[in-house]
Amino acid sequence: MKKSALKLSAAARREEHWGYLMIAPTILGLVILNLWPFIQTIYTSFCEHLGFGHYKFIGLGNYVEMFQSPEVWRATWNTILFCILTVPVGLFLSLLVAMMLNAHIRAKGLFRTIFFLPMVCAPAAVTMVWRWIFNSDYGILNQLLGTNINWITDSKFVMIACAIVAIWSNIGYDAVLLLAGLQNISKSYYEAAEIDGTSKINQFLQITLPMVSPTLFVVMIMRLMSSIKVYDLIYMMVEDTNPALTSVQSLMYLFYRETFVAGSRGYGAAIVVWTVVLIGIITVIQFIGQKKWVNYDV
Amino acid sequence: MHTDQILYYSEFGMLADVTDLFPYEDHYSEISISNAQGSDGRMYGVPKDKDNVCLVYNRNMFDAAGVDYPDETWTWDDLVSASQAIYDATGNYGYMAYNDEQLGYHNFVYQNGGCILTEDKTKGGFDQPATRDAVKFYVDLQKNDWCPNQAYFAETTPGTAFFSGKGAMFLEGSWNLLAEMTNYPDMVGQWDVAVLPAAPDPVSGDGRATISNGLTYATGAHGKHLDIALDVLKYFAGEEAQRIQGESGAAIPAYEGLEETWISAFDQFGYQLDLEAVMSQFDYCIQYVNNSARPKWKSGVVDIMTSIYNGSVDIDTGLDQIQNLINTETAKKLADS
Repeated sequence: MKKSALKLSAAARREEHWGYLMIAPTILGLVILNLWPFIQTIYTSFCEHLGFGHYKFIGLGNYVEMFQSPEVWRATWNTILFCILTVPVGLFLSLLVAMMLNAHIRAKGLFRTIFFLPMVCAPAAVTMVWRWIFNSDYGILNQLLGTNINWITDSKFVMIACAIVAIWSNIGYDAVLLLAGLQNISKSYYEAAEIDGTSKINQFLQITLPMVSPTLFVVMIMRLMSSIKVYDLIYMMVEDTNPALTSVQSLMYLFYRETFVAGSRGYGAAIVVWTVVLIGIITVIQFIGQKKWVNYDV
Repeated sequence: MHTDQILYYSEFGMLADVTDLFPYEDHYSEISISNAQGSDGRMYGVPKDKDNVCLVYNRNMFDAAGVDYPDETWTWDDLVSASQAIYDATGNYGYMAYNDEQLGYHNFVYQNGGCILTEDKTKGGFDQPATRDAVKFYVDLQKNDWCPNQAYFAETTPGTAFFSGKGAMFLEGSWNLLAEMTNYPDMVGQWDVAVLPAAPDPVSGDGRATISNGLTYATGAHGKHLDIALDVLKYFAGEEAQRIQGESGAAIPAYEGLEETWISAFDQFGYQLDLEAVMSQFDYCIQYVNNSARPKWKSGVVDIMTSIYNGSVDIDTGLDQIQNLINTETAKKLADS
């Protein structure tokens, strides 16, 4: 073998340099804005924050305190419960919406815009409106249902109320992603199925679902991650004097209160690291599980 | 600079010492000065404004129930009986006692001769019968039909309920009054303010108290142009600047003798609130509850109060927990510094 075959030519090397140069802004941004703060957070989680950038190294102290705290375990369960309530239902509805928006209907553009609208509204504003909808005395929901449910203050319902808002807010965005996946499916599959006399339900199960599964998988991972990190929605829905707070307080809500209200940044950082570990575990499980249902053969 | 932050900032040397900038004792009340002091007794801010907590009431509901408007003769008993009468006559809520500190039970505790923190601020006062009784009285108000429960308040603040004509009374900070006159033009003339009702049977004192807070003007200790910043603060401490602030209606000037400038900001409305009642409360007001460990125990106390309200912790256990929390965190803080 000739040595020169292993080496890049001068032109190729130049091209390689250009490649690095081109991705440099993004990589730098990631390192400065994501990676470096993450490393700092891990370090902070082993410290006690004294104030104004002064930290005292205390080893595993925060972690010991954290795992002994019933509050943290409760918040962990609340976070998982929130995912269980929002992700499957949310994905199902998003797929349904995506398929309807992909069908031959009138004013398709208008409907796509309407469904996407919640995504461009500030979550705080969205939640303010939902709070009025859920208001037990004056809210429209209880009026419509003829019930007298304390949606936001009864510990049995508060999580469901938060889940409804989360699902409503995210359907549009997820549906647009899934719509892109649906549009990549070649019409010829359906034509062939029609000729064979396959029912619509079977067409969905045998063609649509397998073909859209890679997109569905990506959407699911993203949705799960953002559900585990849920904060603003719950913070706006449930104030700290709400009697049902402990039934809905998520890990990130707890992190906020510890870090920015109580000023315990070290302890707050430990909660963040615990959350990251949780996300890691769940994502690994998903990547193992996807081999069973995600189809990459087109 | 808010009192919630001033101790934290000053302890770390972040704020310029302004003690010798102005003869504060001549023009500012002891409480205004205390609210601007660090734990070391030096001043780290120029008093900007002062406030206190007053009773806001709906005149129409009192008329409908045939009850006299609240005045300085009122005690907690009158508060309760008026609430019942209004509820019976109009079906609206009476006094809306919600889970709040500055606009809630802190006032009742001091009226009863108790305290949230002892005088030297090193310990909590939740082991004193006067404190415990006042908190119990306040929490139990929600057991009456005429008071909404905490679930209601989590959805609808007392202010919202009051200005929607759903309740007859709530405690409000003087700093909100101007905004409420402006924001609810249809309600102008239908409501007024009064001094807080007194404790009927205080353990000590005359039963009168209201929490008084105040913000300060502060500047960084390490500023490049500290001399200029301090010059501006000196001007802010003077009569001219305080008068401008008062006339704008933003808040009651901390500068003694300029209270009327703030009252004049209310001349624009067709109805004059009884703001002299607010002013009269400065004679017996209590400094805003604060110590350097407060950020560490504040949210913990809120959590315990929430569990007392929702019944997951009984009140005696809860008050013991609060006392413990304040003492532990304060002792830890004192040991560190």
